[in-house]
Amino acid sequence: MEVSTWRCRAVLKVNPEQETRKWPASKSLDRLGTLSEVEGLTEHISSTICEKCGLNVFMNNGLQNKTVEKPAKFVFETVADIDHLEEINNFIEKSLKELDIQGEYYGHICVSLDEAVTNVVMYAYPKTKGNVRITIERLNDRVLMEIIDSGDPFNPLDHPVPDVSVSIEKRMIGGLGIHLMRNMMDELNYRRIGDKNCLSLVKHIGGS
Amino acid sequence: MSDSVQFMEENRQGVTIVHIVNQRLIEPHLSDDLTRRLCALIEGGALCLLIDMGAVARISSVFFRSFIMAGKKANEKKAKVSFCNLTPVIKEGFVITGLDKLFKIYDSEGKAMGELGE
Repeated sequence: MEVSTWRCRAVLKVNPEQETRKWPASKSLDRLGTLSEVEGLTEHISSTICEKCGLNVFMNNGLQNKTVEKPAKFVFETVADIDHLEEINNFIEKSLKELDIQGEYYGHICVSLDEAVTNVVMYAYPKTKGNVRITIERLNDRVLMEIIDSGDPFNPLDHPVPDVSVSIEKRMIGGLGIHLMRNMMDELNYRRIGDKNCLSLVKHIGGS
Repeated sequence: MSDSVQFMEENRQGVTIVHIVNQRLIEPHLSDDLTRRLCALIEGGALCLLIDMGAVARISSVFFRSFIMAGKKANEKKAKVSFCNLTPVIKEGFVITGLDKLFKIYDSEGKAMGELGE
């Protein structure tokens, strides 16, 4: 599944020996990548909306071989159905442990990713089978996650906030998953890009 | 992939205790099974249901629906549903979704039985 997000990242140059990234030096306004690629360098770059994919991409303002610590990122793509939920859950748990995310942060991220993935599995492909792609990346004190599918357009953030104060007789049973995500994540963003649903989640860890 | 929620059930001092065994309650198709079995216990005469979540490390909100449905059934039958041994994150989920207002939550089975047991 090719996603426009990754096209934007394609111009990044990686120096595998030093495990650092060197930004393109020659041209100004070279496209660097999405927020997750350039976090920490925002004082040196400007952002714009990519004409092709509609994403907020970040542009080089003439950095000369600027290096940053290589971020750790895990990507997993599989068929979005119940039979694959266990391996998705294993991927999530393993990735978070590799990224040294613990305690409350680990719990919040697990809950939110579970909810996001469950939405895709249950609703994205009512008539056909399709894939879900999960990206988990840690950059300093942030964890950035993306859930991408090619299913029916569905913006979970459009879902109304459930009234969780009413009595048991009046309680509705829907909408709790997105309510949990809203409360446990620091940022949520949905975009429909081409035929893809792209949900991004950000969790700040180890600080505010 | 399991086809049902695994739990052990015991009756003590007038309390029906349901020990959920699954470490993960994630798979959405299992929530219908949990709803059906909890409601069946209440329909069968359990007036005081204590759900022990001590083994559950992760839970999806689709199972919160099961608890709400069981709570509705308990309300019809003048029964009550309580919980014990929630992890901090699951307890936080209960608070965020207002389940803590619908159900009594105990830190431990012992504390629950001290209050609920006959």
